[in-house]
Amino acid sequence: MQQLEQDLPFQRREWRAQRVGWLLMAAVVAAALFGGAGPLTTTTAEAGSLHVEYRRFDRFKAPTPLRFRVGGRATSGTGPDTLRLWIDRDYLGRFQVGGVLPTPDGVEVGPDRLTYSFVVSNAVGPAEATGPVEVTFHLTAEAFGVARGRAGLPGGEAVAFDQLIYP
Amino acid sequence: MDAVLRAVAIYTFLLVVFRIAGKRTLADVTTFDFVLLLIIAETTQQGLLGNDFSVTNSFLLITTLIGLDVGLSLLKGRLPRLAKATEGVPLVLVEDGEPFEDRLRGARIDEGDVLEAARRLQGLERLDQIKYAVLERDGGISIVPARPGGGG
Repeated sequence: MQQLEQDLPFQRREWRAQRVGWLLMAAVVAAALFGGAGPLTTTTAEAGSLHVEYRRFDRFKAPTPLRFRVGGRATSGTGPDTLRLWIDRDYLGRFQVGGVLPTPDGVEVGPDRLTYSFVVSNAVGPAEATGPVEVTFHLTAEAFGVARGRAGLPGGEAVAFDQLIYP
Repeated sequence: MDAVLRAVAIYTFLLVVFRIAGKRTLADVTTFDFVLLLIIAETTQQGLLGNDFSVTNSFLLITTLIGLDVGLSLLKGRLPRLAKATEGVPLVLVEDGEPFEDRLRGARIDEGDVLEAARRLQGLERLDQIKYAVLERDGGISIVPARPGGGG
């Protein structure tokens, strides 16, 4: 046919490139199925009695839960105890803090960290250690890139956890 | 600045994804493909706007997208290799009534698609009435009918 810009070698290369593209697409979908909210992404960091459960990868403006578990603590038995937990300020600045479960009793602002205090009940009995208590922060990522998390108990253990937020 | 980067990212991504999907993805006119395109439009919206629903943001995004389109077409005019990479090349599927099976397979088209185009465009009934059937760059099939009495 006159004046048709057919180019068979190019066409074959294009079809090959398309097949490679399909494989990449399949890989992306597979990664998303297993990652995101999946079982491979959620991981824990721990130091002593402090455990934090977090997602290694998450996405911009997507909700991501941060779960702290503090192991058995002896109580004085004379009334509700207070759990104080500090979180690095730069880390929290990259998120919007939605709900905190339970609602913190108070938040103290420090130069590089925010310290949350929670009331811990000791309904178990006088002078007995309470079981591990769990505090959940519902965060929404507001900045993408690596979020370096630091948190800990004042004067005690501290944990580090890094997250990668996709744009 | 955010808005411009989003627009560039999404425009480029859609360009690449539709190139990978193949020409027929955009040319198919079944009801389902139409629905699919509508859904894709919806998924793009949030990524483009983010949380900013201001009119200014919309204007910025539209300007960037149209600008990219114009820029790309100017660039394609100057660099023929870019034009080939982004648009592809036409492909003869049927010559003098004989289909090229390997090309039909590669393009994921069957004879029925060619015959449908022949009926729709030229009112032809059979494959042997087709001199050339060409898969154009936009995914549509064009038909050159055989001259009556043979030859051509």
